[in-house]
Amino acid sequence: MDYFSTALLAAAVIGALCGLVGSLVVLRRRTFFAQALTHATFPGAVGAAMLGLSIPLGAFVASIAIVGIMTLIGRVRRQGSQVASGIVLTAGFALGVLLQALNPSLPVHVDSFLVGSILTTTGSDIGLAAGVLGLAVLAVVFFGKELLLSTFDPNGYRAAGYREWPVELLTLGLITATVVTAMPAVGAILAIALIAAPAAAARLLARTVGQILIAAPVLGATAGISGVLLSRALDVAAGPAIALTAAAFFLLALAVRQAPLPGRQPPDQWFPDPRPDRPAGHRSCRNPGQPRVEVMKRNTWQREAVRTALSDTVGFVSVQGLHSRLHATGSPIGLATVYRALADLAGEGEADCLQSPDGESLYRACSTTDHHHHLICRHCGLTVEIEADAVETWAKNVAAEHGFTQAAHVVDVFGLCAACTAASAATTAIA
Amino acid sequence: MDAWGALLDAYSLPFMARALMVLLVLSLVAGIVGVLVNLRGLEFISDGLTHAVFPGIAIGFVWGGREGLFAGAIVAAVLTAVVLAVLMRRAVPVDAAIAIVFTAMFSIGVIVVSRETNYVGQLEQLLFGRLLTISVVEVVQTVVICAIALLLVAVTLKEQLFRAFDRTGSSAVGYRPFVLDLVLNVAIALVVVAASSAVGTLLVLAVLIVPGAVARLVTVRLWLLFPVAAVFAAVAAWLGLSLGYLASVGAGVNLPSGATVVLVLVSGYALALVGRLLLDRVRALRPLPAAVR
Repeated sequence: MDYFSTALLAAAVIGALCGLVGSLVVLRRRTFFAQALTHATFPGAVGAAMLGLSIPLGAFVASIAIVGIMTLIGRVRRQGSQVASGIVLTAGFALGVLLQALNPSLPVHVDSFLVGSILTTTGSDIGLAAGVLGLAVLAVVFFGKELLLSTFDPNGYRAAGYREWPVELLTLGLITATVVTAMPAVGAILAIALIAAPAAAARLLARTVGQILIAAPVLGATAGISGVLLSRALDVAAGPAIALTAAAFFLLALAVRQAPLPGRQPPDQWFPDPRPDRPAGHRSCRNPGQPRVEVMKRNTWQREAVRTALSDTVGFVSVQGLHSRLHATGSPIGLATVYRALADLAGEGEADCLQSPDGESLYRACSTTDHHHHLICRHCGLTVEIEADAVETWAKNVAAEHGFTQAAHVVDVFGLCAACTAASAATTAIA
Repeated sequence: MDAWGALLDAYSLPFMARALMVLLVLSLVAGIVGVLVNLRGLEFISDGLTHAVFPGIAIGFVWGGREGLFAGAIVAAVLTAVVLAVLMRRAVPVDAAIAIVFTAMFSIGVIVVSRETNYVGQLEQLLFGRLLTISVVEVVQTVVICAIALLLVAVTLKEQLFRAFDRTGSSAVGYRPFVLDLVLNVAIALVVVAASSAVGTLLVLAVLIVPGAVARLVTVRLWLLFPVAAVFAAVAAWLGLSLGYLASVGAGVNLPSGATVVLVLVSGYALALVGRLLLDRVRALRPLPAAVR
C-alpha cells in the first residue's frame, strides 16, 4: 500500500473514532477537557522520546496523571473544571516546551505536535486507532444505556441507584485513548476539530441519540477522507484541510437547521438540550406544542407490567418507586427498562410526567389520552383530572387574536388538597 | 552571578527591562480581565481566541510585513470575539462551537503560513513569542492596546460582576447580556493581540487564567481578588524572568523565557492549592471558638 492510501485509511479510521467518541464529548460537554488533554500530553510525548519509549505510551501515561490532577482541582471549592482544564493546559504545554528546549535533538517537534503529519502514519498507528475504535463501539453497544441516561438525566441516573464514577471513568478513558491515538496523525489542535465538529453537526441534524452515534463517525470519516483528497488537489497541508472540511460540515448542518423544510418540526423541538438549566419546581415534561412522535409501540411484557403497575398506583410515583413496587410483586424487570417504558408511555400521552423539585421525574397513568388538565396536591401528590372548558375557549381565542394556529397548552394547577389543608390547619392550630 | 544579581541587577540590561515592563503591564491585565475570565468561566474562550488570532497574524505578515502583524491580529481577534458572542446565544453547545471556530481559524492560519513563509519559525514565534527581543515600539503598542482593553472592562466592571454572579438578575434589571459578553470578549481579544506577538499565546493564556484562579484560592473577598491576582502575576513574572536569566548566564542552560514564566505561575498556583487544601482541613478539625458557640 503506498503512503497515500495509507493516509486515506488512517484518516477514515481516525475520523470515525473521533466522530464516535466526539458525540460523547459534545453531549457531555467535555470539549475543553479534551482540548486541555491534547496540550497536556505534550510533556509525556517529549519525556517518552527522551527515554526512548513509545510516544503514544508516554502521552497515555501523562494523560492519566493529568486526569487525576484535573479531577482534584475540579473538586476544590471556587475552582471547578474550567479552571482545572486551563491550568493543566498551560502547565502541560509549558513543561513540554521546556523539556524540548533542553533537548533540542529530540524528534518531537512543536509544529508536528500541533498539526500532525497524516502522510507519515504507519500501519501500527492505524492498528492502534482501529483497536480503540473497536473498544469505543463495544462500550457504546454494551453500556450505551447507562452512558446516555447519565448524560441526559444525571438526577434520574442517580435516583435510579447507579453510581456515577464507572461511567465517568469509561468516558474519560475513551476520550483519553482517542486523543492519544489521533494526535500523531492529525495533531493536538486538529484532533479537537475532528472530535467537536462532526459530533456537533450530527447533533444539529439527528433526531435521536442513536442517529448521532451513527452519523458522527460517518461524518468524521468523510471529513478525514475528503480532507486528505483536498490537500492533494490543492497542495495544502493535510491536517488543516481535514479540520476545515469538518468545520464546513458543521456550517452546512447549521444552515440546514436554520432553514427547516416543510413538513419538518421546527428546529427547537428536534432534539432536546441534554443539560438545560432546569428551574426547580414542578414542570410538565411534555412539550405542549410538540406533535406526538409516532413510534412503533413495543408492547412487550415489561411494558405491560409497567403500564399495569402505574395504573394501580394512586397519584404520581418516581421511577425508582415504581420499580421497587414491581419488584415487591416478584417481577424481575430492570430499572432502566422501567425508566424507558415510562418515558415511552409519557411520550405517547398514556402517562403524565412531572419534575419533582429535586429534579426527579414523576409519572402517573392517565385515565384518558384525550386532552385534559390536572389538579395536583403539592403535599401528598393526590391528582384529580379536570376538564377546563373556560381555559380551552380562552386559549383558542387568545391564539386566534394573535394569528396563531395549532395552539396547544399544558395547564396543571398545584395546591393543597382538602385533607392536607385540614391537616395543615390542625398543625397550625396546635402550634 | 548570584541570585540577588539575577533578581535586581539583570534589569539594568535594556532587553530585560523591556521584558519586565511588558510583563508588569500584563500583570495589571491579569488583575482585572483575568479575574473576570475566572468569575465568568471564560477560560475556554480565551484559549480559543489565542488560537484564532493566528490566521490574522499570518495574513497580516504576508500582506504587510512586520507592520501588518498587528492590524491582521486585531481584525482576526475582534472578528472571532463577535462570532463567539453570537454563537453563545445559539442552541449549539458553547464549548463545541468555540472548538470548531478556533480550529477552523487556526487551520486557515497554518495553510496561509505554510504556503507563503517560513512555516515552522512563524508558528513557534506565535506560540512562544520573543520575550527577550521585544523592541521599544512593540512595548508601546502592547501598553496602548492593553490600556484600551482595561478601559473597556473598567467602564463596565460593575455590570460585568453583576452578570457573573447573577445572570438572570442582571438581564432582568435591563443590562443587555449580549453587549456585556461582547465587551468582555473583545477586551480578552485585544489583550491576546497586544501580548501574543511579544510574549506568545501560551504566556498570554497563562496570564489570563492562572492569577485569577490563585486569587480565588487565596481570598473570598470580592474586591481583594483584583489586587491579589495582579500582585501574584507581577511577582511570578519577575521571578520567572530572573530564573531564566540566572540559568542562562549563571549555568549556561538556555531556558525558553516564556515557558519559564508560565511554569513559575503554575508552581505558585500549586502552592496556593496545597495551602488552601491544608487550611481547609485544619479549619475542619479545629473546634469553633467559644464565643461563636
